[in-house]
Formats: sequence, structure tokens, C-alpha cells
Amino acid sequence: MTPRLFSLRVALAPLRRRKSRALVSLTALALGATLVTALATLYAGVSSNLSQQFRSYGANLIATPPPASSTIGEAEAARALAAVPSGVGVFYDVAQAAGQNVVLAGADLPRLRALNPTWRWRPAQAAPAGVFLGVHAARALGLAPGQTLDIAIAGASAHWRIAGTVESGGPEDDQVFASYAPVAALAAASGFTTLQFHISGGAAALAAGQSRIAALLPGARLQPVRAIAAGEGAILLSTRRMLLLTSLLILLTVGLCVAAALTTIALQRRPHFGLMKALGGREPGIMGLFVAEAAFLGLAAAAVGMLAGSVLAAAMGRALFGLWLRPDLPALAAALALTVLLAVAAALLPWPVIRAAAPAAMLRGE
Amino acid sequence: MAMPTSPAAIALEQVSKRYGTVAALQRLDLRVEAGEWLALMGPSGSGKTTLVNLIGCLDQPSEGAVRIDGTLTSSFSRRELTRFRAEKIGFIFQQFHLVPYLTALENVMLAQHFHSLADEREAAAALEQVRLADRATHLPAQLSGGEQQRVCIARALINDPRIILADEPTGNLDEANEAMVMQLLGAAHRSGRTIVMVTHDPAISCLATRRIQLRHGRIEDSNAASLLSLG
Repeated sequence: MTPRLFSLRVALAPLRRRKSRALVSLTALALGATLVTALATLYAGVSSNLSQQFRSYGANLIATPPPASSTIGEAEAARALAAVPSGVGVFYDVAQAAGQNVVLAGADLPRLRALNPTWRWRPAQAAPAGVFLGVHAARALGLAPGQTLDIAIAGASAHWRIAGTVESGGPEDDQVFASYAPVAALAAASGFTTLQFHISGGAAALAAGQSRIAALLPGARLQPVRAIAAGEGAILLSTRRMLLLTSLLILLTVGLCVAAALTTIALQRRPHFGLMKALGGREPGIMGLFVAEAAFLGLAAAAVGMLAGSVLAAAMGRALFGLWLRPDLPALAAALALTVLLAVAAALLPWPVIRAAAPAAMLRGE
Repeated sequence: MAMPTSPAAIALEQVSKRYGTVAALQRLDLRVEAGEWLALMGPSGSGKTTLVNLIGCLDQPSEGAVRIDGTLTSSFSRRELTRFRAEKIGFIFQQFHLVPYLTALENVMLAQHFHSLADEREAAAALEQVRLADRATHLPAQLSGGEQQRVCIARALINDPRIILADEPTGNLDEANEAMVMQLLGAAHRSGRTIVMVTHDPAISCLATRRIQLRHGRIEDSNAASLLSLG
């Protein structure tokens, strides 16, 4: 029998034959693995579903023209915006500026700003009706606030003074924003490419608002859209930090508990360590047996914890977020690795006990 | 008396061992020839176990030299002592000292593992020699005292050591088991092994080829001519 195989046999023996003594460590580790699995699964599940959750709570809605039309007429738009005041109509066209194509958006800028409170308008106190360049567009065009934007659509041109920049963190950063009227005049068009609404009050209010708007905009397509990205990101970040911190606290608590339990076991086994030394065992080999035993303990606890943690995550996901969360592979892998690592680290702490186990003294029963 | 020319199995020269201010052994000289069976006797605290620990490389003397099979072990590092112990010495203890969560077979294999390679068949054969083949898969707690001591003997002999150290091997046994253990020790002696046995029992000591009496860390009495003063 190879030394490794026999070592495994010896390391497994106390777990098979002295289950009650390993129970405290096993329970603590399994509890830790359960909570880590549950938290990691929750995090993964909630992160991927949080956007959906935001939509059901936050209610952002975009109306686009019927397939046969390129815009929603001004009169229809006015009716819809009157019915749902927290909205704005935006006309988009592709314009040329500084030899480049740029998306030009014409809208009621104060309403647009009110609708998107997380966008950063610079300067913050700029006149609400001026021209604002998305930060990426400003960089691409080499323009800054105070300068003049020479812009043209299909032969018609205009020269607008740039009031400031806007940063949304999204595709708006590549666009140029101006008031609806001059943009429509430049493009020789009328109507809006999209109507954007913010309907508060949850999923039911959103559904009601959607129905109301649909009635006012026959044929238009209405789609709930990504909720406030920055807010969502902040919540995700907070969630991640909270779960990470909670997991660390759990692991620390479990680690201390397991370290105490394993140290007690090591102290009880001092005579055995002394005996092994008397039989010719070297300290690293004896320590290896103890660490391997702890690793097996960690594996067993992880198996229990991954199963229990997945069930717990499913229950918590359902109760807290209304989600059916399936076991998450990276979460399970993290729980397995952390549990085994924790068990091994805890088993290394009693090293001085093994080192101090002088065979002569141990065999005398001291 | 002429000095023996071949290296002794065990030779202690002016060996002292102190624990703090307590002198457990004092300038002790002892020579045990290969194949000898030495009985160590003496009252509690006379230094018997200390002497066995020094011979068994479990401890180092405070002064003096210890040679086992011609090798000066008193200058060995802890690691060297461990290796030497695994190679040369087999231990039998009064308290058996079996690992409680390992079976009889695994306890024997443990000694093989620390010596070289664990061999299940060899270990089973060793248990058969001590008439415990049918108890191989039993845990120590499922064995009687006599059976545990026989497992201990199988473990002590499995690596074919030249020296057997037995610290009151029959101290916890009834008469029937005592006889069986002594029979096994006798067989080990007949196969050429050197045995150093601590005992309080004069009847048991009579089975040895030589007896020495320790008192206050010194050899008080010896009934054999091979006890030499090497200092």
C-alpha cells in the first residue's frame, strides 16, 4: 500500500469510527458552508434578476412608433405626455459634425433631466435649453462647453453654442442633446422617435400606465426598459459588499469554532502523536495525517452545506425577492473551496501541540 | 575481564540524565550484548523508564554517550533519532498505547508506514503469529488487555528491529495472557533479538538472561558478568 493511500486510510479512520467527536467541527463547518452557499447563490441569482426586479418596482417605459412610421406625431405625443406627466419625447436623427456622424437628440431638456436624475449634467447650473454634448461625443468631436458646434443634417446646417456636457454611463454619452424645436427644424421633421415614461407605483401601476398610453398611441410599441442603471449598480455593489462582509464574518466565526474544536481534538490526541513519533513518525507526516483528516471533514461538511445552502437560498430567494434560485455552480465551488481551506487552516493551528508531543513524556502519560 | 571486541547492541558510557534538579540517572555504564535478554528491576523512581527512553532513542542524556548497535546516538538530532528508532527499536508498553480509532491490523501497519511501506499482508501475518488473525479488524476497545498487548508485540516486531524494549509488558495482564506474552518475547529472543525488559516481577525477570537492579539512578546489583564499567 502506498504511503499516500495508507495516510488517507488513517486520516479517514477517526471520521468513520469516532463520528461523535468530529460532530462539533462537522456541524460548524457544515453551517458555514450552508450560509456561504446560500449567500453566494442569493448574490448570483439576485444580481442576474435584479434588473427585472427594478422594472417591476421602478416602471420605465419606452414608446416607439408603429412599424410603418418613423415618428410619433406631436399631437399624439402631447396627449400621452399630458396623461403621464413624468415623460419626455425625444427625436433622434443622425447629423454630421466635425466630419463625423453623431446622433442628435432633440427633447424638452428640463423634462429629460427630470426623467434621468442620475445623469451628470455639467455645469450643473447650465441653462436648461442649451446644447449638451455626451462626454464621449465631446471627446470625439474635440469640443468643450463654450465652443460652437457646427452641425448639419442633409445639407441643412446650424451653429450652436455648447452649454455643457452630459454623462449617463450609457449610449447617451455618444449623443448630442438639444431642444426639440431647433433639432426638428434642422432635420425638417416633426414628431418623436421615442416617448420615455417613468411610472412609479410598482408593476400594477406600470401595467395601468402602459394601457393608458397604448390607448393614446394606437399602434405604438411599448416596452419596459432597463431601470435606473446607476441606482441598480449601487444596489448591486451594496448587496455584494453586504454578502461579502457577512460571509467573512460567518467564516471567521466558523473558523474560530472549528479551530477550537480541532485544537481540543489535538490535545486529546497528544498521546497518539507521541506514540506515532515513538514509532518513527516525523512531525510533518503526523501533521499531514491530521490536516488530511480535517480536509476530509471539510469535504463532508461542504457536501452537506452545499445541499442545505442551495435549499436555503431557494427559500430565501422566494421569500425575499420572489425568485426561484437554482444552485449556482460558482457559488457551490466557492463554498467547497472555502470550507476545505478553512478546515485545513484550522487544523494547522494545533501544530505546536503536535510539535510539543514528546514521545517519552506522552508514553509516560504526562 | 577482557573487553569484548564486537560492538555491543547497547552501550551506555557515564550516562547521566537530569530533569531540572532531579537526577534520574547518574554516571551509569551499561553494556548489553546482541541477543541478550536483560531484565531491568528497581523501585518506582529508580530510573528504569528513563534508561529505557535513552536506549530507545526517545530521549537524550544530559551527559555521557549512548551507542546502539555501534552507532553513537547521543549526538543525533531529533530527526535522526526518529529515523534510527524506526529502524532499530521495537517498543512494547505496559499501557499498550494502541491508536484507538485504528483496527488491530492498522495499528500494526502504522509502524510499517513510519518505517517504510505499509503492507497489509505482512501485517496480517504478524497478527497471525500472535494468534490474533481473527481480531485483525477489531478496534483496541473491542480487544481484551492480553489481545491488545499481543497487537503491541506484533507492531513491535513488524519491522524486524534488532532491539525490543518492553516496559512492564505484563503489568496489566492476567496470568494466562502474561504467559502468552512471555512466550512471544521468548520466541523473539530465540530469533536473535536483543531484549531490554522493565519488570517488577521477579518471576518474569527470571526468564531474562541477565538482571540488573536500579536504585536512585545507579545500577545497584547485577547478576551477570557482562555489566562493564566503561568509564
